[in-house]
Amino acid sequence: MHSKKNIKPVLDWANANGEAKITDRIFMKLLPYFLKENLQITEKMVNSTQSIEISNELYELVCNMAEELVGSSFVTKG
Amino acid sequence: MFDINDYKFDEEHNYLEIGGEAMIFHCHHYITNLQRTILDADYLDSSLFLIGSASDAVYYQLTNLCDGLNIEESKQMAKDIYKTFGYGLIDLSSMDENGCKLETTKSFFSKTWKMKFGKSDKPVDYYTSGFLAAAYAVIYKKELKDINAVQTTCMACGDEVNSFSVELGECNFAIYPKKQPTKFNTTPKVSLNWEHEEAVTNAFLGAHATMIGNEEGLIPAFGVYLVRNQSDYVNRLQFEFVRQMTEVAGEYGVTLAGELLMEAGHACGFFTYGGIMTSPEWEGAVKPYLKTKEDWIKGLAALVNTMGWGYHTAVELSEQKAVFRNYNDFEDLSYIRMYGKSEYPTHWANSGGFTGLMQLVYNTDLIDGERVETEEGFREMRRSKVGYKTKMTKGISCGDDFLEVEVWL
Repeated sequence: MHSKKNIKPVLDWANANGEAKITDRIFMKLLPYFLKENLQITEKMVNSTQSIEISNELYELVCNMAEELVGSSFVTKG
Repeated sequence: MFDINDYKFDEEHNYLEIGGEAMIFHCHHYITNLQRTILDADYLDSSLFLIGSASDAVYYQLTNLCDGLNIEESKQMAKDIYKTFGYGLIDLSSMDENGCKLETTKSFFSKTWKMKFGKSDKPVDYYTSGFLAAAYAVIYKKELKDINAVQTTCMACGDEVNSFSVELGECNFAIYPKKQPTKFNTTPKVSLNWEHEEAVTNAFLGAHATMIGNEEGLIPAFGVYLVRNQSDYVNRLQFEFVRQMTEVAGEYGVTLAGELLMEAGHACGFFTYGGIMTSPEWEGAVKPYLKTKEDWIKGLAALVNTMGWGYHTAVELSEQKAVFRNYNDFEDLSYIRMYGKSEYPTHWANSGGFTGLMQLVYNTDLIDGERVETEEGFREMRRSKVGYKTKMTKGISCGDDFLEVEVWL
């Protein structure tokens, strides 16, 4: 069984620290990976939900992309 | 040889055509943002349409403009329009029957990409590759499908010059079918319903002709770099991008691409309109008529209706919600010329521009003279304010009589 992780905190962090529409930009850049997991997400959906569970592998890709586009590291709290 | 004043502005349709091509201004914020969005999708073979969109539009335009000219005159014409339109400088003297290898240090695309995003990993001046392919084809009577045109070095990558190679060989860009002539929609317009509209519009009629390339072939104006695009070039970039995104991700591809295309328009509206509304020209010819924030929006619409983007108007306007229309907008006219009817609205740049305008007037202190000019300022403002939402409700390419977009808080 594959474990899942909630990507919303990463996307919220990117939104708070990056350019406008940065989450849609992340989805655009990683589209083939999202489609592989049957995920079709937009920024609007991110803003209206508490949790978006994705595979560990995709989580790492999104995290790395978010950090690249924001230009700093995502540090989880707690 | 080329003089922009030879081409009359069509006041009835708020439209300008040169050599059979509709012409529209865009700012560097829009163009670079649009191109970056396309390049972000690196799983698409986008260079085919990035170059092909330019070569197609320029080929058609130069074919008309160079009709009856000899080789040297045609080279001069190509060089002149490239400079006048704000793309930079090119010297075609080395071009011959076999093509050319060309270098330049003046390039709108390379300069403004670096300004906005910093260094690029790969060359960014696809337009000039397409332009040179088209110039070679027209001047030496070649077919586009037999031409290979590549950019080999780029100042945006840190190189000292932009270098291009154009020769006969395997074609490395898309070739498109012949397009239809422009078909205007004749639906009566709902006017801006603003007593000063005519005064403002008349004050700026013809002003577009003063915005031509300087000694560097660039058009710095209103705090941005403008470029006068062949409308079908820049719009085909959007349309081909969305078409390819549809192939990859169906309807979701249209939605995702559309959001980012509107963001490019938003940045354009925000920066360029902000520059216009803080310019000395605005101060002298428009500001005396402005009392309310709605006046600022209507004043801007009355002014930009002289720029060739169609007729902008608002049928509902308040801080909470606006319904904008554009009669004969450049995106829909372009779509119809090249593709016919669309199943979804295709006016992302117009819609993003309207949203940027609302953001600018209602969510900043612009009317008090405080302008947000920097990228960081733009980001900070977007993060700290509740953003306007946008919905494209009608489009001429969908069969409607006008473009309509709702923008609300």
